[in-house]
Amino acid sequence: MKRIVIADDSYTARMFIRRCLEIVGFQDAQFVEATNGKEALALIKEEPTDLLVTDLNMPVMDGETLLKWVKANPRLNELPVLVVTSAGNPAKEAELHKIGAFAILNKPINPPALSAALLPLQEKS
Amino acid sequence: MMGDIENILQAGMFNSVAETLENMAFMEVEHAAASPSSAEEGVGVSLLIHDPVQWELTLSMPKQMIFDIASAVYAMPEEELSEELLQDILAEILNTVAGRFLSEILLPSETFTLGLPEPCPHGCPADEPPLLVWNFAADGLPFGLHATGSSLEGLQNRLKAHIKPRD
Repeated sequence: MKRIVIADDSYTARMFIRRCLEIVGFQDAQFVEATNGKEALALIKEEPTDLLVTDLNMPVMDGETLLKWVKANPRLNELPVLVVTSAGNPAKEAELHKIGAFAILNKPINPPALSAALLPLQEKS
Repeated sequence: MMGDIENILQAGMFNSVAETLENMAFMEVEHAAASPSSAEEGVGVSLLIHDPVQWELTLSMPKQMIFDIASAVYAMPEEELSEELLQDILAEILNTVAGRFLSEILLPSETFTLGLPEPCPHGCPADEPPLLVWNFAADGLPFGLHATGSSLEGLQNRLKAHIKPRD
């Protein structure tokens, strides 16, 4: 069973992301939710995780800082990180890709866009 | 020049709101002449834009419209929606609209910084005259946004030359 960590400070956003993931083929995954980057980091350190989906704009630790922490940790840096944000533009997306984001989607996400973004990951498995 | 900027900001906000509500809840948004009536039972949320302008952006929406969105997007029945959840849904909408708005109006090389949405459970009265007001309606229900803060001049040379309004 795949383990997916979803980090977003909005309950409804986490629920929406989870529903979209279920629609695109992750209905059997174990979903674990975090309300900020710090909580998400603790969760992915705690157990092997297959995918991290994170918002950018969060209290305590934002998504960009979380991405940097993940990519700087030799034990975690292979973890694919999907950034789902309302604060994305071409300049920010280039920056996030450089840090190591697997894919970046603008909110509100939809199942076709999510499916296309995660296709390389699903093909790999 | 200032008129051109205002046209871009008006079209940019309309496109952002229309895309957000259409993608999220299949709602069709249209321009409205007047702001939502104060008699309408509404919910408000505000968010700070830190850069490239220093604005507070506020979204006010009738409760019925948030119920409709919750039902379309999250399949949540009205009786399960707490005040907290209504605020959360509205905050997520404003967060998405604000990001889309800035992406829509700014040149691709420009980055921006947003604060976190904050609820104003009893509406969001402006403590200063708004710089900009946007009035819309969806499914017959009026809703609106307004921005207060620094002048529009900080946006000069950072905006796209023109934005085509959605049909």
